[in-house]
Amino acid sequence: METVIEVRSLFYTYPGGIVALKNINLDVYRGEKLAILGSNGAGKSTLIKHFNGLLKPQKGCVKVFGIDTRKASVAELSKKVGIVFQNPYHQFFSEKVWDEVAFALKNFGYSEETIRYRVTKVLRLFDLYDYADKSPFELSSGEMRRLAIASVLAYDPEVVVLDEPTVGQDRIQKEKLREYIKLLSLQNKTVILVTHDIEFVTEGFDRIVVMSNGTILGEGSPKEVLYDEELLEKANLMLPQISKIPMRTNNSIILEKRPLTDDELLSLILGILGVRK
Amino acid sequence: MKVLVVENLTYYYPGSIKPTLKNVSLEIEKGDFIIITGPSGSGKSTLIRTFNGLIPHFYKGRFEGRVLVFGIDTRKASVAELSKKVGVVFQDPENQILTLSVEREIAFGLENLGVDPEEIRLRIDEALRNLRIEHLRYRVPFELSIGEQQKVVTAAILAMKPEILVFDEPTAHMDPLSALMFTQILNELNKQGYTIIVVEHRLDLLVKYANRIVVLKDGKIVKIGDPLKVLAEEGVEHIGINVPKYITLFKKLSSYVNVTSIPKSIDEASKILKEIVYGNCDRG
Amino acid sequence: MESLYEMFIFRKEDRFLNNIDPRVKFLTLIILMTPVFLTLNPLFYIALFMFLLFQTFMFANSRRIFFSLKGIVKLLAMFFIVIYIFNAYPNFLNLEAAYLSFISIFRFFLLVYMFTLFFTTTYIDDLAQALYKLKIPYPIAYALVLSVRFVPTVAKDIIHIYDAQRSRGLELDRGGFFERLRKMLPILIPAFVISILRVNFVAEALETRAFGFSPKRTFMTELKLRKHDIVYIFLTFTYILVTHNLIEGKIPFLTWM
Repeated sequence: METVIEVRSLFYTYPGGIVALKNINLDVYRGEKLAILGSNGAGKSTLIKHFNGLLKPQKGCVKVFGIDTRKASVAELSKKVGIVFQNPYHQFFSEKVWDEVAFALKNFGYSEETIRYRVTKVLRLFDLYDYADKSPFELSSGEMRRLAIASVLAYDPEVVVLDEPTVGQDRIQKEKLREYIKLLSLQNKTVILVTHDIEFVTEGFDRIVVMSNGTILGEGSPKEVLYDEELLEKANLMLPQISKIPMRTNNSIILEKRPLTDDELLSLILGILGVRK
Repeated sequence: MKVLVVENLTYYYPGSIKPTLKNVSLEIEKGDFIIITGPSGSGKSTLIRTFNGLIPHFYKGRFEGRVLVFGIDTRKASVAELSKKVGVVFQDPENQILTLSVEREIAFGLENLGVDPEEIRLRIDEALRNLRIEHLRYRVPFELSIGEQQKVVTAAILAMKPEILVFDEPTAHMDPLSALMFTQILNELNKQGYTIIVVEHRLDLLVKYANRIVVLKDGKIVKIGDPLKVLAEEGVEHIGINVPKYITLFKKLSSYVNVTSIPKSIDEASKILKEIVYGNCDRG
Repeated sequence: MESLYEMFIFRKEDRFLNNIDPRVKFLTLIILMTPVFLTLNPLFYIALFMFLLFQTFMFANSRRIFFSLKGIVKLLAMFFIVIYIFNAYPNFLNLEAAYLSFISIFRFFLLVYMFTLFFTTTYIDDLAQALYKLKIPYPIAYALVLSVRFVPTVAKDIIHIYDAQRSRGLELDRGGFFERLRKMLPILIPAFVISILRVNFVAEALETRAFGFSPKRTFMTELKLRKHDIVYIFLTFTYILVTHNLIEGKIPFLTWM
C-alpha cells in the first residue's frame, strides 16, 4: 500500500506553551478512509494542519507525497491535501457560489477554461449548479456544507481532510455526509475524517486512529478499536451504542463477530435463538 | 400545575411568507423533563425562543396564538421579566459569556435585575456548588473548555432562579464524555424540581431521563408523548430524527421474537437481551 | 500580542493597587500624567519612573506588569532608532540627538507604563461600574467590558479564517501593494460576517440575562471609598509635592495655572 502522508516523531507546541503533539508516528495510505478519533483537545486539528503545511513540525518530520512539508508552501501542499474546515463561515466571502468554488482554482493558477470546466463539474456533482449565481450566504446550512466540500473537490486534491463535519448535524445531514465520503472515495481520493463523534465512525471507515493528549493511543480497524473499551476510556471516549450492547450482554458469539450495525447484531441474535430472518 | 402553555401558536419571522411554526399547541407541567427534537429547520430553536419572550419582543414578526408562562402572556411581559421564570442556555457558550470572570458571569444577570449584593454572593456560591464548578470561580471564561463554559453559562442562568430551564442543543460542541456529564447535570436539576426542556438531536443520552418528547417537523408537532412509546413507533425514523440505536434494534427484533419491553437505556437493553438469549438459565 | 492583552484580563489578586477604587486610580493617573507634558526635566522623569517602579514592586504583580510592557518596550526601542537617525542626520554619532530622542521616547514610555499599571490593576467591570457611578448610562460603560471580552474571540476567528483561506491557496506575502490589499478581502469579509452574526447571539444572551431591566443596577462588589484609597491619594500628593519642590524648585501646577 502506497503511503501518501508520512508522519515521523512529530512534536508540536503552540506559542504560549501548550504541548499539542508528542511523538506522533502515522502513515496514511492511498485510497483509504481514515478516521482520527479523539476528545476535544486531543490534538486532532493540530495534527491535520501539518498535512498541508499550515503548521510546521518543531521536531520530527511530515512528508506529503514524499515532499517534506518544511520545504513547501501551504499553497503547494494544499493542491495535494485539501482540508474542509468545520465552519463554512470561516471561508465564504464571494458574491456568488460560482466565485466561491473558483477561488482556490484561481489562486492555484489554472486557466479560465479549466476553471469553468471544473467548477461546472463539481457544482453539478453536488447539486449546486442551480445556485451558481446565488450568494453563498443565501444557502441553507446543509447547502453551505456541501459548498465547502465542493470548493475543495474543485481543485482535485488527492487527499481530502474533513475537520469535525458532524457537529450540530441532524441524522439526515449525517447520512448525506456519509454519501459524500463514499463519493470522494469513488473518485479515488484518500479521505481523512477528524471527529469526536464515536457513533459516526462505526460505518464507512477502513481504519481508526485514536488520539488523546497529543499522542496516538492506538489504531486499528473499526471492529478492533470500537470494541476496545480500555483504549476508548483512556482516550476519554465512550463505546458507541452498537458495541456497548454486546459488551454489556457479554455473549461470546456476538463478541467474536463484533457487529457494528444494528442489522449485523440482529442477525447474530436471531442466529443464536435459531430464528430465521 | 401547568407552568408553560402554548396555544395555537403560528409564527412568521419578519418578512417571511412561510410560517416557521404552524399551529403549535403544547402544555408543560411542573417538573417535566421534555425533549424537543426534529430535523434541522423544523422550528425547534424558534419554538423555544417563544418561551422566554425573545419571540415576539426581540425578533418581532407575525405572532398568532399565545404562550403563557405561569399564566402570564409572553406578549405582555418583557424578556427581562420573563427571565425570572424561564432561563435559556443556547448552543454556543462562546456567544453567551459576557464578562471576564466566572464569578462575575454568574453575578451579571442578578446585577441587571437589581438584586442585593449580599444575595448575589449567596446565589453565586449556590450556583457554583450546584454545577460543581467551585474550583472555576476566579477563572477567565475564555480559557476554559467548552464543557466547562457551558456549565458556567448554566450556573449564570440558574442563579437567576427561573423555575423553567430551557437548553438549545447544549452539547452540540461537546465530546461524548462531556455531553454525558452535562446530561447527568440536567437530570440532577430536574430531580431538584426544575422543569427541564431540552432541544436535542442526540437522543440516546436523554431518553432515560425525559418523561415526554415533542417531535417537530416543518413547524408542526408531529409526535408528542412518552419518549419510549414515540420512538418505538413504526416508521418514526422517517421523520428524520435520531432514534437511539438500541431502540431501533429492539424494534427490529420485536418482529421476530417476543420482546417484553423496549429498553429505556443501553444498560436496560443489555439486560433484556441477556434474558432473551439466556432465557431461564442463570445470567452471564 | 498576548502581552498587550494580558493587561486587560481579570486576574484575582490581592494587591494593594488592585483594591484601590478605579476612580481614585484614574484621578491619580491624570495627576501624574499632566506634568509629563509640561516639563522636559530629566530628573523629573527619573523620579516618576522610580515612583512607578516603587508602586509596581510594592503594590502590584510585577511579573504581569513587566510581561505586558515587554512588547511595548521592543516597539519603543525601534522607534528610538528611527527618531535618532532622523535627528542625528547628517551625522551618525550625535550625542545631543541621542539624548533628545531618548527623552521623547522615555516620556512616551512613562505614559504607557502608567496606563499599563492602571489597567493591569483595575478590573474592567469595576471601571464600567466607576463610569456608571459617574452618571454614564450602564450600556455604554458596559461596552468597554464587552469589547475587551471579545478580543480573543475575534482573534481566534481571524486565525481560523486565515488558515481556511491559506488552505485555498491564498498567499498574503506575495504580490504588489494593491494586490496584497485586495487579498485581505477573503480575510476581512468572513471576519465581518461572523462578527455581525455574533452580535445577534450576544444580544439574545444579554436579553436572557435581563440586561437593561432597570436603569438602577446593583453590583456584586460595590465601589466604595475606603481607607487605602485615602492613603493612596495622600501618597501620590506627597510624591508630587516632594519631587516638584526638590526638582523644579516650584510647583508646576501653580505656574501652569
